[in-house]
Amino acid sequence: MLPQALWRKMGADTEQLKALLRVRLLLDGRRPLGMSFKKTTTHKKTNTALTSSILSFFFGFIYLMPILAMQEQPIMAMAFNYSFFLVMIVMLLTSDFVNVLFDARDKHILLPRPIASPTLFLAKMLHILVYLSRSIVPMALPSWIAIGFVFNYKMVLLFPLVLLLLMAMALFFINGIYLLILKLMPAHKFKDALNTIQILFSIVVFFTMYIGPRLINFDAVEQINWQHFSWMQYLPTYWLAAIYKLVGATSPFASVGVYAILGLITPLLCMWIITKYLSPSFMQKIVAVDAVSAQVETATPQTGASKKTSKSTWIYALANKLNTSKEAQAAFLLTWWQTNRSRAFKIKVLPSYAMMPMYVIGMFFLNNDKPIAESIQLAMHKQSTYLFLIYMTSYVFFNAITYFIHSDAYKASWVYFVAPIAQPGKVLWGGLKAIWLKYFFPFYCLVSVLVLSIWHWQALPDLIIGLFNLTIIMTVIILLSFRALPFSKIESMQTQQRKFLRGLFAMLIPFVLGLLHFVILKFLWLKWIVLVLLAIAVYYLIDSILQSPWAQIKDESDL
Amino acid sequence: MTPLLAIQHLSKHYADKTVLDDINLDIQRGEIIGYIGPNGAGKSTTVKILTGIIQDYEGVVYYDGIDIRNNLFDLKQKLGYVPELAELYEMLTPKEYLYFVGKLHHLEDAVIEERMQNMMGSFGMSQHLNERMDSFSKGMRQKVLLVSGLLHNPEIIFLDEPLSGLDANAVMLVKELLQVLKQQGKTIFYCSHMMDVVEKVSDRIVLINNGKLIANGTLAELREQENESLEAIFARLTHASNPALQMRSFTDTQ
Repeated sequence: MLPQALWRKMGADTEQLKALLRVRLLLDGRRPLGMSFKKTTTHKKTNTALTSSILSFFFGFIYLMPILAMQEQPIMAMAFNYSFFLVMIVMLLTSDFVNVLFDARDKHILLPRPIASPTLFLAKMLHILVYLSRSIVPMALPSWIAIGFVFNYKMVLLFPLVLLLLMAMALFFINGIYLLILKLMPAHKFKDALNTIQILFSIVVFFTMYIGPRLINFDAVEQINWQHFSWMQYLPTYWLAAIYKLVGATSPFASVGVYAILGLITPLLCMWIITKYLSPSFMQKIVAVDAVSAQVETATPQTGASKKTSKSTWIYALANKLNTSKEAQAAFLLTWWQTNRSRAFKIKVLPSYAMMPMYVIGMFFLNNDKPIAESIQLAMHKQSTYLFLIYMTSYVFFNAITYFIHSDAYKASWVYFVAPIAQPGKVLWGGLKAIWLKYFFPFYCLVSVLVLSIWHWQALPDLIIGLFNLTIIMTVIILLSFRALPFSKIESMQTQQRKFLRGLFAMLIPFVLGLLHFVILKFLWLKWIVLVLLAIAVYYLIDSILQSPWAQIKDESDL
Repeated sequence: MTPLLAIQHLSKHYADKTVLDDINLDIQRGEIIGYIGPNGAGKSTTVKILTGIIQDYEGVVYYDGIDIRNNLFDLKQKLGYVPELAELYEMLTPKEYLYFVGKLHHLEDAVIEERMQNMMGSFGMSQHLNERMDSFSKGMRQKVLLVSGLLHNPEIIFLDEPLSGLDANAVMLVKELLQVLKQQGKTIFYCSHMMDVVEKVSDRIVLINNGKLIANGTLAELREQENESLEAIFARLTHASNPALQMRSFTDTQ
């Protein structure tokens, strides 16, 4: 393991640290048995890990852009390269790894044992770092190789160190923020704050990722006046890139040596501050957070409880109205309630609602050189603009359908397997209907109102086609990738990685259907024919979900 | 008379490990079977096969004379199951959870409501119907599970450690409940380690060890000597060594 003296200096017991890390990595490699008790073969696991690494490797080619465009400015090129990497790391950390940091099982398994806070905290950090490396290292490979060709071998040698510092900095920065809030906030408010912060983080990261590349015109990099980018010097990613000064790389800005030192010191300083001031209270705070949440629940007054029941009776009526079969009603209700209350679900799904308007903002304000008012005018005259709006809504339901089959309480799904369910597809469809109605349809209505107010009734056939197409997309994704019962699967580190990469590819479906829609945009008569065909397609797709037999309902090892 | 449930040559293997080895057992209508055995003997695996959760096994299980592989849907309509671990969607309230389970069993809303009120009331849980279960104790969750297993008025009931986490009063209630269910003609397959309860409620006791059925009979039939307790019979048949000696070696290592 890495330098033991360093871990000891940070207050950790190295033997315990080793034991904790070993068991966590072991557990990640062992996925729980599904209801059918099939065991995942080692061969399959290896293949999945390999596929995931290959996909990450190809994804890494995107990051080559600044290196190839800024061959005369190695430090700036690397600063941009690291900024893109930072965004990716933060994106991975924000939603997925908070569950590792605040793992509910710790309360029963680890907290009663004599483990010091810094040990537990460091074990969690290192665990996350190992998993992060499995995605980030293959992603960084193209950049690493390219540096050798574009710049020089000395930079190649330094690259892994700087990448490690980048990962450590991102990791400690994000978790530092969580711990700071944990330290400053009363325990009972922490869970709410966590939700808000994760959503804000996701939005900021998305905004940076979307707008960042547009700030620079990579085609005309020779004409860039670097003084306009002097603000880059205040970014930690520039400090890390400045480390290459040590091997002779150049930068358009002065004092690059100072920033190089900052680049070396900052990650270590972050680690020191966190372990010295924040992690000692980590364990007590976890206990406090858990204890408070339990108290809040038990203290629910009787009057409040009965009020809640009378309020929510409409949902029983709605479930009965919208679903003919009892099993679909059951799944509809379960999905409605669980998605209302599951923190993990909300964190993963709600940010998409904020991201979609950002895409729109980006489209209006940043896609050309014209003044904003003129850009808006121009966009409003194009029919393709509303097509873009229509198909962007697929983004909001993609996360919802991805996550509604997963739950920490997946073991409770035994109930599906002992109930007299002849067609499990009905259960899946009931749950999916709840997701469609709750997370997609209201948003689509909102977008429709916006589209109709700008483009008037001429957009109506396209809105209806869009609605059918998006429902088709949803059913196809379910049929291809997520044919499982609601809240019946556990989400492991491996499924998270796979899902992220699968998600990138799944986003191509709306793009393709949107493109086909664009082709028929000018032919009203054709739209009506297409509409009929789409209605038939929707009918058959829904039917194939309904007819899904038990054999096709994915068990744990398939996902 | 055709047994309600007939298990013939039932075996189950996980990779190289044999969990159940050629189990043969007939269960008559209205019987309470006490299914006992040491930890890891194969009790829960048997129950999971009989309830249709595990479907890849060797041998045949007949329900009312029909192989359950061809008739699983009918069996599931008539069975009630209370699993060993209190796994439920704890973010729901008992009312919501019982509606969910009731609908999976195709019950009408009014029926679910009426039975839920009565059964939860019997367990003294009426005032908790609208509270989220994530704040419940193990015993409270167990009561919800018991109700969920009986909500659809099943014909045959599989109880896997149903008394787990229950307080003394609740244990008495469940014992009484078993008698009421027996009077109603229900067939009960009762897995437990609590020998005193098994001894009192069971018509017949079936003992398995290392996946093999090693005893099957009434308490009187299993006794070698008069007044031998079920605990003593269990120890004798499973060849348990002297507990005092075992614990001595445990403490010697400290």
